[in-house]
Amino acid sequence: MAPPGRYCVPGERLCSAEEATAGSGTYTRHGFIFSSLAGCLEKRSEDSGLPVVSVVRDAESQLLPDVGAVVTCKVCSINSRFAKVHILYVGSTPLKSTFRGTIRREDIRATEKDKVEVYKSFRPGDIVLAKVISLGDAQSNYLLSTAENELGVVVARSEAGVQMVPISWCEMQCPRTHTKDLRKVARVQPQFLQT
Amino acid sequence: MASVVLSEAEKLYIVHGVQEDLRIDGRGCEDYRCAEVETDVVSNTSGSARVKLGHTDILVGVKAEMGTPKLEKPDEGYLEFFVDCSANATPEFEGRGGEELGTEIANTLYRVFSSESSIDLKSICINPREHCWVLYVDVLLLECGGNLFDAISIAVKAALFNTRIPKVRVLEDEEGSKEIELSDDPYDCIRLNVDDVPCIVTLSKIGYRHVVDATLQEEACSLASLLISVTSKGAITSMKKMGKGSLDPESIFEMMETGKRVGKSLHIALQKILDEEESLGTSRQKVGFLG
Amino acid sequence: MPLDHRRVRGPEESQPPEVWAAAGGAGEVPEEEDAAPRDPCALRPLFARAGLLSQAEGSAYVELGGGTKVLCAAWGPREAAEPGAAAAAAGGGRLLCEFRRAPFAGRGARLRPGSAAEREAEREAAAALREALEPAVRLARYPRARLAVSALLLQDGGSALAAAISAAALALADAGVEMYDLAVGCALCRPPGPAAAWMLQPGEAEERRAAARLTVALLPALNQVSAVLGGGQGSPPDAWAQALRLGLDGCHRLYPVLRQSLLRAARRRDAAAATTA
Repeated sequence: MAPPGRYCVPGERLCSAEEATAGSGTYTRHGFIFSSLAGCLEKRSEDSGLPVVSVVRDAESQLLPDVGAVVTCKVCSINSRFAKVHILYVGSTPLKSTFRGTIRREDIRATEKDKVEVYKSFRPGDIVLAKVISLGDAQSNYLLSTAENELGVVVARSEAGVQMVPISWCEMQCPRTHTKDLRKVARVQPQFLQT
Repeated sequence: MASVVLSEAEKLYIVHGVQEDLRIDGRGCEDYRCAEVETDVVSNTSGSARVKLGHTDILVGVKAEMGTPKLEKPDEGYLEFFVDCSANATPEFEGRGGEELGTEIANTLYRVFSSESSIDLKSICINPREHCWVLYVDVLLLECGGNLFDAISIAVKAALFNTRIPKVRVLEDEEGSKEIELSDDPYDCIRLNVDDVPCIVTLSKIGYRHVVDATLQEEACSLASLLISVTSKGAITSMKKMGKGSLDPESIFEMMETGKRVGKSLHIALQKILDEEESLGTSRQKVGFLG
Repeated sequence: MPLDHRRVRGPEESQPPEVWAAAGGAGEVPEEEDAAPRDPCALRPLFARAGLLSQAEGSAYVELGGGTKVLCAAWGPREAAEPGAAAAAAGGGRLLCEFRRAPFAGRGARLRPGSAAEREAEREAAAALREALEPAVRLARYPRARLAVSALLLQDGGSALAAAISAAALALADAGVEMYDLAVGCALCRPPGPAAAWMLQPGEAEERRAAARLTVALLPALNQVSAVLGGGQGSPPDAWAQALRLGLDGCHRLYPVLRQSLLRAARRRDAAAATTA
């Protein structure tokens, strides 16, 4: 590994805001860019405009689900109006502790929302890809949506306990018993498939 | 603490007003609201006082009881503070809601009175290591309308001024066993000297300036405030930063100067009222609390 | 902390022997106070180390020359436990602070664990800790989450709260929590006597005898004061202002030590990551 560059601590002044743009792990105040993390300083030049200054730590950064982020979650309970899930990953980063989320019935798919039924889309134990649409209010927790082709169930087990194979966007089949189960299946993007 | 919800526009209005030394109720930055002080309002106490400062209403009762002195200070009596945030003031205090605020206020009062000079604790010791007076100062919040700390400290001072502790004598017989005799005459009592009891002045930072006696609305605009306890001579006995913001060092120095100035005039006004009330004696028309 | 009921907890009331020794007067060892009138501006040596607990996300240990030892752990963003609290935190995260004293931390009487007096003292210190740290942490970056810091005072040799503030800030930074600045704490005290000058970082004995005490916390890069907590015998505002200046100067002088310890921890962590990778 190359010898790392300059290390900085929170509150350290990095450079003037005119020389660079503030990236992650930094903040701007009084026309200067300051570090907000204890980590290694990184300056990346973009082809157009100012270089981006950011402070990076190793992979275990403190990540929180944010609006628009794609998260991986596990369904823990369903009822006729919504499914409750535990958020396990944000993007490809595992979370240190699980956060609770809700997928409401009308957020399950993009079309024919009135015909959606939760139990035909998810079952407890399914692994689901979803997008955060809101941080929720006092009563609710993170609100998630699967209303995109790429979002939905990626891993599900049949009653026989075998991992099922998707056969269409709304069906999965058990390879042992050949029973078909209804799910809101995700078309997994190739970039997420890593062995 | 009780809070109000303000829109950004309302906050801006208040902040800009403060910048011009004009507050929403027409006061300047260093003006207190109109305060009402009445002592001797609860008959079952050794001393009591009620203070109404704008919409903040505080009732303080002092009860004197006999106890044993603390080990570290065998020749002194001591004060105990308890602050009750009743749900009358705001529904948020219901159940255990007010407990945190209550302990915070009580801790602040302990700090303010921790200085040896504030009250002569030796005068309420009956005989060292064995008996002393314990003054239980109970603070009740009847209404919260901002600036609780200042109102409470005024009420505590007024209640201590009003406190009458019965005189006791310690008789010793031949065998060396001690007996305590309470004076029969109800007017034969000790008064506390409250000249050096400090009052708290809270200075809330709003925009680039600071104000005293902030209302609830103004408190919502302030990120940080400085709590200063000032004696009548203008000496500062304790300081505490409150709130989740931070302060510039220079503004702290300014705040301390303002605090001293405001605190001195506050003491003068309070002492005047207390003396006036005292001179009226029993002929005084009592208003009572929430009157 | 759950109480162990099998443990012999001693008599209901017990007293430390020092109280009685002091009363006797003769038995007291003269604390070498007059022997060496120390420089009021002198700081005690400070040792700080970040990232030493393996289980916590961030941790720090701060030790002062006089024997104050504080261990701090920080836990990264977690889901706000109760929905009611989440409403209050809608604009940003919440910072939960805990301050615990080991039962044997103090010199005099051992505070009974779980006693009311102990709880009160800890709760007040925890509140002070939170107020000192809140301005330094970018809570807006952690919506609907809570961050937790717990400080454990192992030994109280004076200036304990100040040391805890510094250690907690280090632990948070070590946990990778986004912060505007570190917070550096510094304590002062004024010995009794009319012409006594304020002294930086008092030891336990000095603190006990002091007529007035003050703890300040500074965000050094922003030059903002995040905590002022003190009291004692009255003195004019000028004297307090002077004390504050001295305290802030002390914070500025302590800052490089804390910064170095954090840099060292960051380098060590990256090196460890490089070897395992």
